[in-house]
Amino acid sequence: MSGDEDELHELIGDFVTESREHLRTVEADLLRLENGGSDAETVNNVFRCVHSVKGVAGFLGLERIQTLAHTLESTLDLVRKDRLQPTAELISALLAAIDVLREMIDNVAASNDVDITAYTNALLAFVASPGEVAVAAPTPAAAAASHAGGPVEAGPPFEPRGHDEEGRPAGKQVVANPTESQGPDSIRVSVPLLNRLMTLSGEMVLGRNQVLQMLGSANQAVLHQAAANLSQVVSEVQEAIMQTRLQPVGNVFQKLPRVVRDLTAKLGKRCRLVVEDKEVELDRSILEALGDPLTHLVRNAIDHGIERPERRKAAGKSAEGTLSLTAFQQGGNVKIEVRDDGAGIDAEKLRAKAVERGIVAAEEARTLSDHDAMLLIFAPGFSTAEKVTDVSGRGVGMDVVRSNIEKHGGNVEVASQLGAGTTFTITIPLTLAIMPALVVTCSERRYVLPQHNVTELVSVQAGDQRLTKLHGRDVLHLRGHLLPVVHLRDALEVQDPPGSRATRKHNIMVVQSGSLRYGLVVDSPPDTEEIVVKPLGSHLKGRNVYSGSTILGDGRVALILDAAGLAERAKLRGQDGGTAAAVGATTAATTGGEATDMVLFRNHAEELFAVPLGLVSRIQRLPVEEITAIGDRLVHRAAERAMPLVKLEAHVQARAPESRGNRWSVLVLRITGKEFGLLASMIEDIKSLVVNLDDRTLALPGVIGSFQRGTQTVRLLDVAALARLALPHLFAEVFGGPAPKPRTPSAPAAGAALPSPEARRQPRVLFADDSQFFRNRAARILTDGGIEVVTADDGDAAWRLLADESVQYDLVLTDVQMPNCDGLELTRRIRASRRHATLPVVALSSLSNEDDIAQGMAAGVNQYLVKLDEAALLCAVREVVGVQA
Amino acid sequence: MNTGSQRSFITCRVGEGLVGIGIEHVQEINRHVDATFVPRLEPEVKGLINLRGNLVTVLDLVRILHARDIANTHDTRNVIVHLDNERFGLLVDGVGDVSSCELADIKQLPSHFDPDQAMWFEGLVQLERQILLVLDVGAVVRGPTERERRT
Repeated sequence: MSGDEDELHELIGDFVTESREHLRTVEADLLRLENGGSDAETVNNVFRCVHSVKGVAGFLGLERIQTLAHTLESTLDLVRKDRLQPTAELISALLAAIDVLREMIDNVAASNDVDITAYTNALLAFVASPGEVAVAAPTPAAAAASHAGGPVEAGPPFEPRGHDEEGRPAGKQVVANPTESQGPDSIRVSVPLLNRLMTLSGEMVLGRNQVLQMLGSANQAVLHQAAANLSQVVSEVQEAIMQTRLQPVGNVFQKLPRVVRDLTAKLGKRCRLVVEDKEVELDRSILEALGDPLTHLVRNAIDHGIERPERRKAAGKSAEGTLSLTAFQQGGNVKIEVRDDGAGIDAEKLRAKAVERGIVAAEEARTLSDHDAMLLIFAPGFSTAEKVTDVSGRGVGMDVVRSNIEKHGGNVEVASQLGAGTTFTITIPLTLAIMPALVVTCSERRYVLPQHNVTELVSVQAGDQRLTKLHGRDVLHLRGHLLPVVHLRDALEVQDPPGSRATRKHNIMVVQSGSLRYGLVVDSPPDTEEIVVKPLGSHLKGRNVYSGSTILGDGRVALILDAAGLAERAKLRGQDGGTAAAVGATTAATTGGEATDMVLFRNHAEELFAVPLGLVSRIQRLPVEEITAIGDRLVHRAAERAMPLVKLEAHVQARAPESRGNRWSVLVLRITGKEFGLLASMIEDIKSLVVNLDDRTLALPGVIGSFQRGTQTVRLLDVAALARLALPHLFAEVFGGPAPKPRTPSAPAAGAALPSPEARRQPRVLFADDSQFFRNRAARILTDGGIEVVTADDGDAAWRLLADESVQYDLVLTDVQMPNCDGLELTRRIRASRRHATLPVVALSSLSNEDDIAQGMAAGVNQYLVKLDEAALLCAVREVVGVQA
Repeated sequence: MNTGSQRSFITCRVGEGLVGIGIEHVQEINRHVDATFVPRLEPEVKGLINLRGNLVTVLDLVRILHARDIANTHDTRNVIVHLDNERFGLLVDGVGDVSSCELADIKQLPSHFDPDQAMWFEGLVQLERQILLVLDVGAVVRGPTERERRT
């Protein structure tokens, strides 16, 4: 390369940098001009910028750039001299020209091949007829078409820069903020800050020298003093260096006024953008990552949120919508709110759409609270745009927004009021460089988990019921939810060092990553530490279990665990289809309503059955050799006791599985303290379900009824009846007869059932449950067992019945979760009253973890039973009221 | 340093052999041999060390060349090399002098050389009393990923 060429390259490089710098402010100035919020200086500024671009371009022989800049200059000159009004049309033409100019500058080498006539002609039309504003600016599409095939492709100007449009080469993407577009190799740092860093580094050298000198003399007091100084200086250096990386959030807001302007114009809407920020600063890498999600949110707000002026007026709002962007600092985080006063989000529509798209099952959607339903918009494959426009609905959805933000340790939330507007709140840490983390040990080595991934810590003693095995994998019962449990040791495939003792206590971290939630078992309770994240070397990349590494306080290296990767890893190691992700996601989905934990399984491949989890003591896979057939009975011979096994198809109308293989899945069911195994060819899932039970269509002995799950019909088994049918010798005495009575559709009337005189000596039970199904069911069981039942549909109704002094009750049986007055409240009222203080209360619940039981006991419940365990129910009632079978 | 037609090597003892690491790759030699173990990696990756705030991946050169773990002795050294802006530590049984030779003295490996071994070396230099095998740093450092891709 010759010296001349070198010089020319250098000059062009300078030109590009300088021109970008100039054009950076032009857009904002033009927008201000349009809004009338400008003075002469604004126009002058734009004029000067374009003028200097023109000058240098001419010198360098960049003809097209020079021509375009010249046309811009002449047009602006007329505006400057008040001979041309800055109408919306004129500003559009100017902005379109500036966009092309910028793209040409970004790709200088090819700039002479760009066809700019559409832009120059549009501007010249204004120049030729000053005063007339009827001349149409080139539509973005026409303008783009006019130089289609040219090396620089201008998308429609409202396209956010950096969004991938097909055919737009990645290298030509234009970044709106010129300081950013210079790439990650250089940043601007203020000179005072740099001076401070210099001073501090001088201090550090001083400190080092002091410490080195003292190593010989070893005067403890002086050494401590020097160490303290050094420590202070180091902290300041760290802080100052962090500051060099911080940039005002306003930088990322800069391109948004343009987005709003172009989009509202295109959609025929009116919207005012209010920006409050400026003072807040963020690490530049985070800031860069925020650009696209923010643009997307703004576009969404205008496309879906803000209504058309006529609809706004009809709704009693001002014709012009307001979109406000607010950034503020809160602790170690920055919050950015994108708030519109538009139509709001209709939770009902979201539910329907989510079901339609197959994102959630219908029954799950019903149980979602409005707030949870809102979160559906972040689900992959979800788009609420009623029709696909070129503005939205291109497959890049809110899920990308969320994942982009979460990748940087932040999160995004949505709140909306129908008719009043929607607010998205992005929370993002101030800096990525240092983050709070939890240091845990596994096999005597330390690992680090980012604190934002950990929602809580649970310590479980060995033998605690909360940590159980289901489906061959560990699960944690946590306040009514089932969380899959991952052992860090297994996920990392490390062995225990020899001589380590078995721990009696499990430390479980509840880890959240996206919609995934699971328990991670580690060896020690975690320590918190602020860590500096270091990238992984090439040997460690792509392992997806580690997201980075760090150096701990003692100088040793520790690996940062990747929460999502660990879960992925655990899933791959699972023995079956029930993945950690599936269990986690479904348990998290049902928070409202009264859900029952169900085990779903198949016998024949096409038939789905459910058993309440409360009745399943464990799930086993038994080798066929351990199963003996005695006559038509099957028995599993384990170490000391034989367990009877039941084939579903032998006792219930069900198809037999085609083959069972040589390891049989067995649901071990436990009623009245006795166990039997139910053969299942495949365990489908363990889910917390709110069941809408049809107890007529498919109800038969052994089957309570059926419910729909997606497109499938699931039959809920009547475990007690099944036990009696299949193993009469074992379970007959519990029910006082060899076989169940045929079902009678008539059940005792609810509510006002008055005791008949001849039944006066029968024990009488008051049963409160909001479910008609459970009322009928329990009433039938108890009536069959010779007990009179009076039912109430909630705690209040039960309390009113108890207030009737002419009726004596021997026992109150109550559901725990009921509307108006729940079972615990009812129990408290009973305990507090003089008349009923000693009345026995038995609580029935589909939730039966320790916390629930403890709460029940605290309220004064005598006994706590799992719903649907009818044999246990009858036993318990008989025991309390003193009736023998 | 290398001047024109010359090349210099750090001579390292690796098992029974003498291996030369091009001095242009070597940043420093230290005794930092106690690396943090990283589960689920190839056996030749010993782990990570903190080299004044930079993380360095440590590879066991004995393991790579001789398929057995290095014995940690008083002479064991960690040779820090850099390649493509990344730093690696190579554990060797011992470090000797710096040897220089003319470029022309670097001979191709004989054709009967075990191909499993040959892949790690650029060539050999006949020293006064011994043969110095010239290490292909790129192959050693990128090796594990290359081989993984093949399997």
